[in-house]
Amino acid sequence: MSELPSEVFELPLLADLTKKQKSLLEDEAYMEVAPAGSVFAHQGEFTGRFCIVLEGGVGAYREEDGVTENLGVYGAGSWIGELSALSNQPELATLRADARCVLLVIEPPLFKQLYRKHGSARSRFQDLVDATYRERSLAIHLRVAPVFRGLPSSKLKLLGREAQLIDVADGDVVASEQDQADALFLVRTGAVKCSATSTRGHERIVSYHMANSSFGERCLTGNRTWPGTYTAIAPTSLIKITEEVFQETLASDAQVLERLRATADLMVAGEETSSTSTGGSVIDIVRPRRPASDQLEIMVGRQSVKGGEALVIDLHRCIRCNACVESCVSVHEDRVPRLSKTGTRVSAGLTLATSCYNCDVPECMMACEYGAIRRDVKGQINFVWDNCVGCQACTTACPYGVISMTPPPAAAGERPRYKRHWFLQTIPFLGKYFEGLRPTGEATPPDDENPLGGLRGDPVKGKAVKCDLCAGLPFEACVYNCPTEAIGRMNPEKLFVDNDD
Amino acid sequence: MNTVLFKSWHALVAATIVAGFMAWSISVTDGSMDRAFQIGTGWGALLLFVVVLGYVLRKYVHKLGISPEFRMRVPIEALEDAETRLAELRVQMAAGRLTDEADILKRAKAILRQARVQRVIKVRLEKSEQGPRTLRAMPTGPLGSVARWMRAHLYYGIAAAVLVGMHGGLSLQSGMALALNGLTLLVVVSGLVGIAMWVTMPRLLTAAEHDLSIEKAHALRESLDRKIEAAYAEIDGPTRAIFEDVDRSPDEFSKRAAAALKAAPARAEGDRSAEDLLALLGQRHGVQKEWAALMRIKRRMNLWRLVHIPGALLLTFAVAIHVLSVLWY
Repeated sequence: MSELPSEVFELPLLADLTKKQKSLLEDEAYMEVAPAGSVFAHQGEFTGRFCIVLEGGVGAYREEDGVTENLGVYGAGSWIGELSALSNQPELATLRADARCVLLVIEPPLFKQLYRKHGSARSRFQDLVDATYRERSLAIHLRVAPVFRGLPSSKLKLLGREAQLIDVADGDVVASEQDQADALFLVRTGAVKCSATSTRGHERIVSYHMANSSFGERCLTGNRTWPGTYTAIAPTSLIKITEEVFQETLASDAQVLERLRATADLMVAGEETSSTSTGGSVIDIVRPRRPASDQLEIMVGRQSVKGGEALVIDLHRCIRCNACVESCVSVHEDRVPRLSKTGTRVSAGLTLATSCYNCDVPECMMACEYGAIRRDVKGQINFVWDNCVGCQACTTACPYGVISMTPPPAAAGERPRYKRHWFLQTIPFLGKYFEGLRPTGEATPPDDENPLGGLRGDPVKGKAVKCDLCAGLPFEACVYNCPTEAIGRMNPEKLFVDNDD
Repeated sequence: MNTVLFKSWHALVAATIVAGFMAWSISVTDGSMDRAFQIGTGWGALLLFVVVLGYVLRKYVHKLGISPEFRMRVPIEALEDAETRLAELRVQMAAGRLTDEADILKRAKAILRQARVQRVIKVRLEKSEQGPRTLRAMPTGPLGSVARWMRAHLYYGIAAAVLVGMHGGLSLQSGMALALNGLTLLVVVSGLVGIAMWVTMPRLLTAAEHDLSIEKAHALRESLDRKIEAAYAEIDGPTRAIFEDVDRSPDEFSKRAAAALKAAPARAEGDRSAEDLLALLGQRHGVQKEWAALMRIKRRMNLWRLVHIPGALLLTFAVAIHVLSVLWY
């Protein structure tokens, strides 16, 4: 990491940082030189990087409907990437160095440190970033809400100007059941739970809203009340547009307002239908033989349910042959399994295998200081082998314990090579007697402290690994090799469908 | 009951093959004496037998890491490129700019070809629950999943056994006939028992697992072993001998443990190492008991393999000798 020039701290954005933040910036931010014409972020790509232009100019180009629009050129002292860093959103535009640029790159964990409130007061950094966000990104971000899809940019800009950016703490109530619905909310970061009182008098989860999810469309549909109490289940940042703002901003355009109302009507009708059925967006707890709700709460709190399809084992089909784990071992040359069957039992017959959920807010990614963890366009979290230094920060940060460490490489810069299973070890019943012939360097077997096996906790550092969905191969080994189709990928929300109420 | 094991078009194919040969056997006056029928059923059974063995081969090429599919790996960058472009296609679909299914699929396949990932990813249009179609990318799985091979193994195995019966007329007179017919019967019956076990026993095992799954019980047992070993190291020799004696006889554990605690030599005040060790031993007995019960069910579920696998190996050997001798003479 290069040393930062002192002028950096005189930039308006960074001038008011605390001493601790400045020291963090000095330690963790780094400078990058982009030659003229080079593209350093593509539209639609997840980077999470926040960059301050120190020299030169960066052009932002957004392609929409086949037309490329120049959103502006950002010169020295300006910054880019606030939406990506704030809301884990893909880049809104392709960023190209129009001239040779020097950038100060701030990775997501550091950005979060700088963006943090000091006590109850907002920092200048926060204010300036939010001001830019409101000016440049808010209108485009609003399109995430289904009700705004297809609304002209000019109208979205008008709404964005009046929208409020609010922060709520974990446990704060955003809206109460039976109160008049008076605003539309879009979650920027964090998560909100909507719970209602069931006919039996106990709390029933109606829905969860994670980053980029919206609620409150019913405020546009006349005299309606909230279907439940909306509570933040993590520190949450929201965009709030009140009913009055809709009325005032769009008063001159009755047609647009009418269209919004019609869409909102449809959405509310869908919401009400699904809240009485077992499917749709309603997430409730099924046949809980153990407090599955806790697991859901954790998963939702960390936005894992939105990340990707989870690996689920149907125990009524599983013959416990271990083919899933063995096949996982055979496709990875380090011979460290990426899944463990000692997962969480979510109902009588289903187990959520211990395997990566590709969380929407990946704590491993936030913890990695070396850029070794990134998200691809599919939303999948990937590890960049060459960047991993084996610090194990991700293994500690992962709430599900799905990251393991591989054995260290034989020599610097070399990937370890391991022998595959000996044929003798694969013979049914007799194979175990040849286990003593296990090749050296093989991972340790799983135990309760380390359900994935591997070498976690080993004093000699290796590299971090987790389920990569057998990336690059024409199959997903665990699912592909199960003889009874007991293991498969499933949307975690479907695991928690209510049969109870 | 896991009915997935039965749902397959292989059942229809196998039934058609068997029905065809049955029709042929009715049309010939004496099936066992008709040379063409004998050769036909022989080759038919052999071909089915090869498919049946294909399941084993398919399973082991992956287990041993020698599957040709492993060599089809494409670079992650190429996959990401394809996924990015497919995402753009999805955006166009959502905006209503692309509606023709054939056109969407054509474009998607072209993307896969250009990114050179068509060997590992295929695309399909699926109707989602909400209504609009979604473009889904999925692995190609060129060799077919083990579950598919398993069903083929089941149905073609049964069909092969029927054909073997027609081929040799269920004769047990010569040594070879006895070996072939007897072993076929043994393998098929044990296989059917196995299927019945696999279909019904997982539910029983799951019901018996209560709060501790078989995997967790195993892991917990190993963890307790380590903790107990560490706890033993902290106590003196005579006390250790007393506790080891308690540990060896799991019956009436609580009573014996209390007696052992009384019999143990005096310790310094506040030293609770003996009590801690006894608590760990008690936990291990509990886990061990539960684990043993689960393992009993698991072993029962797989007991049939002790007959099926050696029987199948012998049958393969007998078939090889039979085929070679027929071709030789």
